[in-house]
Amino acid sequence: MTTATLSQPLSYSDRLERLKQTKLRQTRQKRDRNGYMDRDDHGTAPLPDGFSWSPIANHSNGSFYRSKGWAANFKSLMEVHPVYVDANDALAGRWMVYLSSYRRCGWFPDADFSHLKPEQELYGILSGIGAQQHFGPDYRIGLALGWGGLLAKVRRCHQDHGLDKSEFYEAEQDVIVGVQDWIRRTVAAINEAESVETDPTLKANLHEMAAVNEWLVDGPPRTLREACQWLAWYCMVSRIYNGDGAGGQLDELLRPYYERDIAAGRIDDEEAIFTLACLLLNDPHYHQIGGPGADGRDMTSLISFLIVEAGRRLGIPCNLTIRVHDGLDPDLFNLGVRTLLEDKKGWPRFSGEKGLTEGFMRNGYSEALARERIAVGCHWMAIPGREYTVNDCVKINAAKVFEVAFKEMMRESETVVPSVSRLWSLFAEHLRRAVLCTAKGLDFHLAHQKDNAPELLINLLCDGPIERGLDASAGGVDMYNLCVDGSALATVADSFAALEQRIERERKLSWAEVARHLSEDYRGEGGERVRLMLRSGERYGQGTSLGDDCAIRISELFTGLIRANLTPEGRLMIPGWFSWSSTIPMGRVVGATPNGRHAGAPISHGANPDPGFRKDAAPTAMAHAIAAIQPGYGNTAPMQLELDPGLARDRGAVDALGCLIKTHFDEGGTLINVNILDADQLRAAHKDPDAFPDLVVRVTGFTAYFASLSPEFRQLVVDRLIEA
Amino acid sequence: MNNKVGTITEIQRFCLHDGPGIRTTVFLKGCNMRCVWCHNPETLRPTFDILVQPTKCIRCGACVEECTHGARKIDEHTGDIAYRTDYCVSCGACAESCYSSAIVRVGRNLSVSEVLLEVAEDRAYYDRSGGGVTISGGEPTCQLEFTVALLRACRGHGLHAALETNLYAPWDRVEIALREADLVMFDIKLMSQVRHREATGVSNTRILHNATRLSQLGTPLIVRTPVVPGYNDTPLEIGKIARYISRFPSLLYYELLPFHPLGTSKYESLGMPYLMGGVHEPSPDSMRALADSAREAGIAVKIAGLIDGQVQASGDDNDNGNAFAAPFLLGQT
Ligand code: SF4
Ligand code: SF4
Repeated sequence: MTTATLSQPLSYSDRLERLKQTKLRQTRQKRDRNGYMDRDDHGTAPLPDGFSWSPIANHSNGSFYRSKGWAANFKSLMEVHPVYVDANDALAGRWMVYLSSYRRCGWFPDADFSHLKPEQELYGILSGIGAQQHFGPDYRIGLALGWGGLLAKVRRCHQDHGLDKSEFYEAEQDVIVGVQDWIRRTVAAINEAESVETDPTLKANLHEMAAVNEWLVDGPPRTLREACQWLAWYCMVSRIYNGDGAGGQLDELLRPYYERDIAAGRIDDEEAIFTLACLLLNDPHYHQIGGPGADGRDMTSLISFLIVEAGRRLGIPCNLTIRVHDGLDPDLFNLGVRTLLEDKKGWPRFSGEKGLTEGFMRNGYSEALARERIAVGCHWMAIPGREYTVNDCVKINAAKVFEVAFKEMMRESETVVPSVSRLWSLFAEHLRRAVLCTAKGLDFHLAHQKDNAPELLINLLCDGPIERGLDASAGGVDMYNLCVDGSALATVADSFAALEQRIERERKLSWAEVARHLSEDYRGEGGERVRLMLRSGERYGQGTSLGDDCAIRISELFTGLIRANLTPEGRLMIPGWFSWSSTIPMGRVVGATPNGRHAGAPISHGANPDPGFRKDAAPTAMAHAIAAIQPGYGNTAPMQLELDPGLARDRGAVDALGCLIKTHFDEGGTLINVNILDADQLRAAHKDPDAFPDLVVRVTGFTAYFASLSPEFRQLVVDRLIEA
Repeated sequence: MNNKVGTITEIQRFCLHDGPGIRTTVFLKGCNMRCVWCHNPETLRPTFDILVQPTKCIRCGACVEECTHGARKIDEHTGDIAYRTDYCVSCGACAESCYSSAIVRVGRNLSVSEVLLEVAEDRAYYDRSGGGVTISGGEPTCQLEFTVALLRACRGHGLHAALETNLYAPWDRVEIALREADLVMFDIKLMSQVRHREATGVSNTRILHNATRLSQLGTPLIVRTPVVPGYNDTPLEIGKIARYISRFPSLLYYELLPFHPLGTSKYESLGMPYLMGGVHEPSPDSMRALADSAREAGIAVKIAGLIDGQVQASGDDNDNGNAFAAPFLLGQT
């Protein structure tokens, strides 16, 4: 409720400012209530006090499974999920709870994978078993049909299939009915708010908001505002259902509505920007803008610019990606680079057409299809609605694999003389086993995921699941290209390089010495000196160094192992290098490593060299190194770049950063995340986060309020930036 | 030719201030002037320097074992490493064995081929940005043969090669290097001979003479002045320099570089006295005023590090020499 007594009518920027302040307040509230979170903000609003809901169990373990269990619980939750109306907002609704978080037990206990667990643990594998979402819906399907149209489609397909798929179809119907119920209740709340609103601008806004939503209960969107509201509803309910945060090609999705509204004189650009800002505020989904359409022509249009402008006016965490290709509108590219430098909020991100498209085509797909494979998540590439990928859920901790190999070599050292080449072959063998174990895990996941946690929301916006009556995880879509990422590239490359340099080339250390210092975590006598010696060698990222060679070899080995093997059931895996924000937990399980890293310390970040890799921290050196280790099959090995704001003040900065981005992509790079942060400000914010409530940092694929991150994670961001 | 060896202080990639585009700057060691405000005291001496940062020492004692000149001892009372600079011959052996960076040797001997290998890493970035390699110092002409060989090698490999020099050398000696460069950047710090000697240790007669001869070669030129409070930060002084160089037909632009206070630590770690304590950075406004007075001479002027310190050419508004107007960037920057 807003009681504005201003004489001037409220402007869009007044309203946006109020929305931003509300958002900051809610972020603080959430942190105070729920603690820190090392992940996306997701746009949730805090739950009202006293909210309670209990899930309905359909398994003896007290949890719920299968389509029936998920649908019943989702529908029941939607019946009580609070409604949210802010008179300043163009869009109604905020989401507040994850249905998944109400599950007592995770994985479906009737499907047992204990046979895989020993190796998963041994090699630090994040198996992806039970991973939900992490592929992309095709929003065009939903925008064309609306909730009513989707419901009719489900019913029609149900009829076509007769009774044998009833559980699936009934579940899909329940899900839609649950969503419609929530929208209806929201409309009632909007009407109520309108009746007591005194500010004429806001009253009119609420009036229109009610009409928009009343229509959207059934109908497909007709205007830009309706389209944004529809997207917001879908994003919210899909988040509630299982956390799905995948975006789409936002400019192309909204362009027809925008152009129609403008042509009909219904809106002007200011209103369009405001509506778009409200959509971005609703949830920082991973949308792409610009880039080539299936025919290769650039998709940039006026609304691409308005989307960037909307994000800039908001100034909150945002995850837009600009796809860079030769035909990209230079003005959009330029605007993106300027936004990064001037706003310093860690967005937009840039993805590289050449590496991604050529890479994906190596899997045997057409160029047109490869172009449709867009950035829809933190490092994910997926063809919306047609490809199941489990992006970012499956990781092999190469540092753990290295540790296993190193220990084995030292155990056998009585009989076999240790050497880098012996270590290498052991590493290769263990990595092979890790890949195989991962592949088996993926088959297992796909065999049982529909029983564990079906994709009832994303199914609706896919080509196939509803038509076939099959979950997207179980044959509903056409393509299964499973993402398998390696982690700890720099940790392992620098370890190999340090051993080769200090033991074999310079003969400054012996294998036994190194093994002893590792087992003592460099804390025994002389340990610190040895640690520093190992750390100061030829590291990955320096350029033409031993570490660079090792990183390339490791990436080639990893890529080769993944490409040489389909999963046992014949599915394709696509390699990448990415650790997301898991560098801390993945490091915790690995002892000291020969790159001078202490036991339990975080592993290296994604495909990046470790901080301090070069004295001048030259971004060109980093870009070159990361381009050289790209697996090259259409998934990403992102470059995370930390830049000093001194650069932003520089006259040539836009050109230089633009050149850096384009050249990295020319050389085969796939995705670039940039942070521009003042080291002093960051240190101050680390000490007193509340003094900098709106400081936004790009953690990895996602941006977040710095104050919301855990102290441990903040430290990592600080180290990364300051050493860079 | 390419195994000619030079003493290098540092090779720095992604430099945006040493000429057009993205560049790699090769800092050669050794300088024949001694400007009181020098930012890079570690480049002054032609031989290796030993930089010490005792706070980083982990007391491993390795340096004491390495030093055969008795310059390093463990202090019996404190356990610290005592350093007798008078015994030290700057051989660098201690630094080689010090992995904590408590002792760092400044200076490496590298052949032209080795330097070329490293600078060529960023070729793609130079190509796209209109950048290249800048040979700087210290004073590169102090290692004249190496400088000439490196310039030739860069150009021979299709890399744009700029030379940054103080022009303080006999013309007959430096001409060959100047002719090998695609671009020459040099400083005029003061017009007054006396004050120039006070501030840099040498007279400027030879520099101004060389500048005039250089301008007749037709090589593109960028002239720079480090603006140092108390030395040359007046419109009068800057105006004089600007008028002097306004006669150079191949001048791309004149660039004013604001003095940055360094703090004493860099000098301290080299065991040198820092004479600029208490001198502050000129304000952006005063830099703008100086740039305006320089523009009165009818030349294009830039202020380094200021986003609005663009070239404002008199006459046309072509991008005078900012070769970094890359073709892929349209719109406003
Ligand atoms: S080698 Fe370095 S760390 Fe070791 S005692 Fe000497 S100065 Fe200290
Ligand atoms: S540089 Fe050489 S002489 Fe000087 S302290 Fe080190 S080892 Fe001794």
